[in-house]
Amino acid sequence: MRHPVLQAAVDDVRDAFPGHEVTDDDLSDGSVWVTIKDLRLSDGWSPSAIDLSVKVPITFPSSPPYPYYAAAGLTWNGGQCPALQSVEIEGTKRTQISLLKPYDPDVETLGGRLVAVRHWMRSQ
Amino acid sequence: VRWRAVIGSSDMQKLLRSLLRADFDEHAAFLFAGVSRGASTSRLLVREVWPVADGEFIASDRGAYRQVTPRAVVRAVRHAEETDTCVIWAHSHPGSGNHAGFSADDLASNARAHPMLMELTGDKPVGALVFGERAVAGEIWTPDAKPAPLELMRVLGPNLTDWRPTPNGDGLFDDRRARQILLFGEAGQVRLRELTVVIVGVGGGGSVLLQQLVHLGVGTIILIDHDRVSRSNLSRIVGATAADVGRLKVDVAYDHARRIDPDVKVVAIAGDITYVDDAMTVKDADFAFLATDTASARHAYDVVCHQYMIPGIQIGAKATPDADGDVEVHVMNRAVMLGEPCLHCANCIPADELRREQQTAEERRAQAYVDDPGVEEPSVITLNTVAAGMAVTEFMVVATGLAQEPSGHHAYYPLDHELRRRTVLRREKCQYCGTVNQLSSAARGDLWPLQLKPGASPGLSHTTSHAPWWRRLVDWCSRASRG
Repeated sequence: MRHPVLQAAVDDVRDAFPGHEVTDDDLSDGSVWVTIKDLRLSDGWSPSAIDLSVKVPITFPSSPPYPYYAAAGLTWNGGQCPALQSVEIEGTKRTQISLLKPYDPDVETLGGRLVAVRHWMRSQ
Repeated sequence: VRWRAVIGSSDMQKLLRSLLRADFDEHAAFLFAGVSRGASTSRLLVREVWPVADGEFIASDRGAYRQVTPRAVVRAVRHAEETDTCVIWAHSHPGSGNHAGFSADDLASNARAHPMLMELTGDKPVGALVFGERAVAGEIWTPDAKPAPLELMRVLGPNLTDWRPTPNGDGLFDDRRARQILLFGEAGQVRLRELTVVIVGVGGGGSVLLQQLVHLGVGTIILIDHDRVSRSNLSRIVGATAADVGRLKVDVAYDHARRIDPDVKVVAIAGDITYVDDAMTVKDADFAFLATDTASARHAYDVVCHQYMIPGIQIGAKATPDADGDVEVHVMNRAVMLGEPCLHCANCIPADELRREQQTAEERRAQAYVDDPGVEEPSVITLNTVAAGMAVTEFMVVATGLAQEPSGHHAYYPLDHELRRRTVLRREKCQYCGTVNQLSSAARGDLWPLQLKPGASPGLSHTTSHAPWWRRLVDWCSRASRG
C-alpha cells in the first residue's frame, strides 16, 4: 500500500499539471516513480517535448525530490548543458537533469517543484 | 492483551482541568487516540482532548447521574472519522482520591453505548475512563474481545508518570542496587524494573548505554543493530574482545548484558529500523535510545517515536577536523519527547544526506557521489561514554520521577569544558511531531502506515532473546547447519 504522504504528493503533481497525463509506479523500496507526459519546452531544446520523471523517495518530503530525468538524448542548442548528464538507471539510458536547490516542505510541494523545473527549462 | 493509554503532559493537564474542578461535580471529555496493537500489551495514543461543555453533560434519563448528549457524541464520532482516530470518553468521580472505578451505572452505560460507537468508528477500539483526583480506571472495548480493563495511563512530560486505578503497591528490594535506591527509592527501582527500553545501535555509544541500563536494573532491553564487530571497533565497544570480531554487535552486547545481570531480559534483534518490519519490533517500548549516526536511522527513529509516542534520547559524539587542521569536538544529547521539537524540526537530519542514503549505488554514481568506505571520522570511547552517561542519567531521572524540567537538547564541548543547552523551535506544520498537519503521523500508532522502507531488512532475521544457554546452542547449531 502506498504511503498517504506519497499519494498526496502524486495527487499534487496531477493538480499542478492539468491536461497532462501523469503516471505513477511504485518501486520495491517504497518510493514512487512519477512521470509527467509530453511537456512542451522552449525553442532550442531537442526534442521539443519530453516526459519528465522524478523518483519520490519513501522519506519524502524530508528528503527532497532530486534529480529529474528525461529520455536519453535530450540536448540544449545542440550541445552540452552543465545541468544535463547522460546516465543509465536500472538498465535504461536517461538524461539526468540536475537542478538542486533547498526544498522546504512548509512552503513547497512536489507539484510546485516540478513546475519550477519546467519553468527553468522553458526559460533557457 | 493488557491495555494502556499514553498522553502528553499538556493534554493531561487540559483533561484534568476540565474533569476535576472546584465545583466538585462530575465532568466529561472526549479523547481521540491512535492505536498500537501488541501481542501482550496494546496502547491507546492520545492525540487530542476535547472537554465536553457543561450543557452537553446533562442529567441522565436512564437512572445514572449524568450523560453526554447525543449531539456531542455524534460530533465526537465525526471528528474521529475525519482524523482516523478512535474515541475514548472520560468522566470524573470527584472525591475518590487515589482509587478510581466505574459505578454499576457507568458499566451499564458502557455496555449500551460502546458496541454502537465501535460500529460508527469503523470497528476501532472504544474506551471509557473514569478519573479520581490521583487515579484512573478504564475499560477498552474491541470488536474481537471482551472488554478489558485499562492497566495504566502514562503521562509523558518531564517525568514518566503512571496513573492507575489504585496505587501500585508492589515492592522490590534488591540489595545489589541498595546504593542507587537511596537516590530514587524502592518505587523508582520498581519503575525501572517495569520498563522496556530500546537501544538502536549497539556500537561505541550503544554498548555503554546498555551496560548502564543493565546496572540500573531496567527490566527489559531490546537491542537492534545489523552491523558486525570490526577490529577498529574494539577500542570503544564495551564488552567486545578480539574474539568477537566478525560477530553481530547485538550478540556481543547480549552476552555482555547477561554477564552483568542475567535477571535483566535482553532481546537482541539483528535488524535495521529503516525497514517497517524491523521498526515494528520496537513500537511498544517505554523508552528508546538512538546511538547510530546515519540520517536514515535518525529519520526512522524520529518517525517511530512520534507515531507510537515513545519518549527517547538520541546520542552522538563528533570529532571533525576542519580545513585549518583544528578539531571541533562535541557530544550531543537530543531528547525526543512529546510536545518538544522532533529531530526533523531541530534540523538534525540533513535532507541531502538522507536523500543520498535512500538512493541506489547506481543513482549515487550517476550523481558523481563518491562512495568511499575508507573515509572515517574520529571516534573515541570517552566521548561515547559522556554521551551515554548523560543520556542514561536523563532517562533515570525522567523514569523515577526526579526530573524538574523537560530534557531538551544538550551539547558538551570538551575542548572548551562547556556544557550548553540548545534551544530548538518546533515547526507548527511538522509532519512528524505536529498534529496540525492532516498528514502528520504523530500519535497515530497502527492507524497510519510507517513512512519507512517496506518489509524487513534483507538477509536479517536473527533474534536472540532471554533463553537458557543450551537453547541458544541448539539455535546456533540449527543456523550453522543451514549455512
